[in-house]
Amino acid sequence: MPEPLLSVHGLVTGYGPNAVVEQVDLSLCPGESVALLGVNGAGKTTLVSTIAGLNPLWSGSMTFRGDTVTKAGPEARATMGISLCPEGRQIFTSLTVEENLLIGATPSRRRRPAATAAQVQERLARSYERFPILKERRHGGGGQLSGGEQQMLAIARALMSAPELLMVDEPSMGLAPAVASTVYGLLRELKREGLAMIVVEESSNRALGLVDQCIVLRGGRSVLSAPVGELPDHATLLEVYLGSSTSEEVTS
Amino acid sequence: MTGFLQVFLDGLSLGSSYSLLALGLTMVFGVLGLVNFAFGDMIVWTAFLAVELTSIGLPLPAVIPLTLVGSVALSMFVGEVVFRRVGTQNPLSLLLVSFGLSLVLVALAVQVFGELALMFPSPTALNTVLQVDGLQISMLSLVNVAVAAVILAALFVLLNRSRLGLALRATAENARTARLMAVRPKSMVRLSFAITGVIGGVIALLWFMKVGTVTPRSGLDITLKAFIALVIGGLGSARGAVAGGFALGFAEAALASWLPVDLRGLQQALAFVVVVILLVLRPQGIGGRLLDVSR
Ligand SMILES: Nc1ncnc2c1ncn2[C@@H]1O[C@H](COP(=O)(O)OP(=O)(O)OP(=O)(O)O)[C@@H](O)[C@H]1O
Ligand SMILES: [Mg+2]
Repeated sequence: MPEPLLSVHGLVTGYGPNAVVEQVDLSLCPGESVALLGVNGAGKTTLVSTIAGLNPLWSGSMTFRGDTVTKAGPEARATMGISLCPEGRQIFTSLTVEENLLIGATPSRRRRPAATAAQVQERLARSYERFPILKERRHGGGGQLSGGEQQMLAIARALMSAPELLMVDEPSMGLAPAVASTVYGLLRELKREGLAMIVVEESSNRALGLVDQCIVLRGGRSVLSAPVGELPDHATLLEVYLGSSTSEEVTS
Repeated sequence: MTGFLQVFLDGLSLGSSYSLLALGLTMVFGVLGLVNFAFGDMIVWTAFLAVELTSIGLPLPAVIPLTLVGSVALSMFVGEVVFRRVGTQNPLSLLLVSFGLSLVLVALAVQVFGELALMFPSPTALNTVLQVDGLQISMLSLVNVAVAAVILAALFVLLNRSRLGLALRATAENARTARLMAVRPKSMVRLSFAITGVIGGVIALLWFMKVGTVTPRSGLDITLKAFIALVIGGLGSARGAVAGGFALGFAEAALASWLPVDLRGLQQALAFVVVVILLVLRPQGIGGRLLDVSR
């Protein structure tokens, strides 16, 4: 068993007085990836935000590459190699496309020397290689891109810190199927390159086709956690774990 | 033609000061959502520092850098101790605190320096008025324009060409997401107060060299000018602040020169009328969005 890259134990968090995520365990080895599925409001975004350090852990613990980061802020976690491509993409519209990428290159990281100017340029060039459209639009405003282009930019920006763990929150949200496929093509490429990933989706065959493990959240609790090969068939998965979207709307 | 050129020169000089003032306000507004109504009073305290430094016998070349250092220190102190404690949850409470701070600063200044106007150090060379083809411009105005140009250029480079500037703009737009890129909101608030401090120090020197004297109550006028320029330009936009500053400068210069003599007392009030008309026509101001320099 290799040492896990990320390990989360008994994570509890929430907003105000309400716990939103409860007793979640998660363990990820380098290069491994996990799909985090669940209906609207299941707590997926809250969980990945908490792993990124944006929300405090109420209880539980978290280590990254063996270091305890339970109390570390998002800035520290970013410099350690945890990168979140947030829900809704959150492109800086007052920055140009290139500036959005540059801001993603975190200046320093623990245990490793700070990214040099040359490294930043190298990563920028790599982003443009992956996404020629971003190069074309690099001097344009970040807000002037289409939804798909913004998602590319958001992922490219998250990669600028050369992370060891990339978390992507609903990468296909609001995208046409063809565009979503392109995004997943990219994620597959990143996985081949050995990047560990947590991919959040409501429910998606695409996500399951990409990852090694699957965790299903429901009401903030992990109701299923299994390697993809051991998952129940798709219909059961939808019925039992996700709840069909219509019945969920009625009950919530 | 000469009349027009003269108004242009006067407006340029006034506008440079107002642009800097508005930039000072907008920096902090961008990251903290605070319109600092104590800005003028902080500048007055900085001016008093310059007066005191001069009175203990320091020469101007020493007074200038010390005043700038003092201004930055005051600005960062106020940012750290007063505003950051209040937090950004409620912009109204920040506003209220800035009003309170203004009152405190004025009252303290009255206690320490008295109500009487103090002479502000001003080298005679700067008071020379150059005359060319019937146009007049004082050395001080030229210095004013030149210094403003240098600061504007430096700020432009900082905001657009450095990681720090990017981080500042990103934080102004979306601090939470910026944190994911290892940008500490705390550091950005400090940086914005530091920049504002530099601008405040420069203004303190230029403004009061022009006026000649400083009193504890000189701050209100400065705050108002900065605020008007800011509103004309559009809150939170660096470009807008500069545009608003120059718009206000040219409007004042034009009113001062072309208004019938018996109406000149109304100049300030009329400037406000111009502002109101402008805002009715263009409520968002003439500038862009939050520290938006890219468009
Ligand atoms: N900022 C917040 N303040 C208070 N409650 C919140 C906040 N964000 C989310 N919640 C609540 O936490 C719960 C989980 O929300 P979360 O956004 O994590 O779900 P999600 O699984 O990502 O849903 P979706 O699929 O809609 O993105 C919801 O009940 C939501 O109302
Ligand atoms: Mg979500």
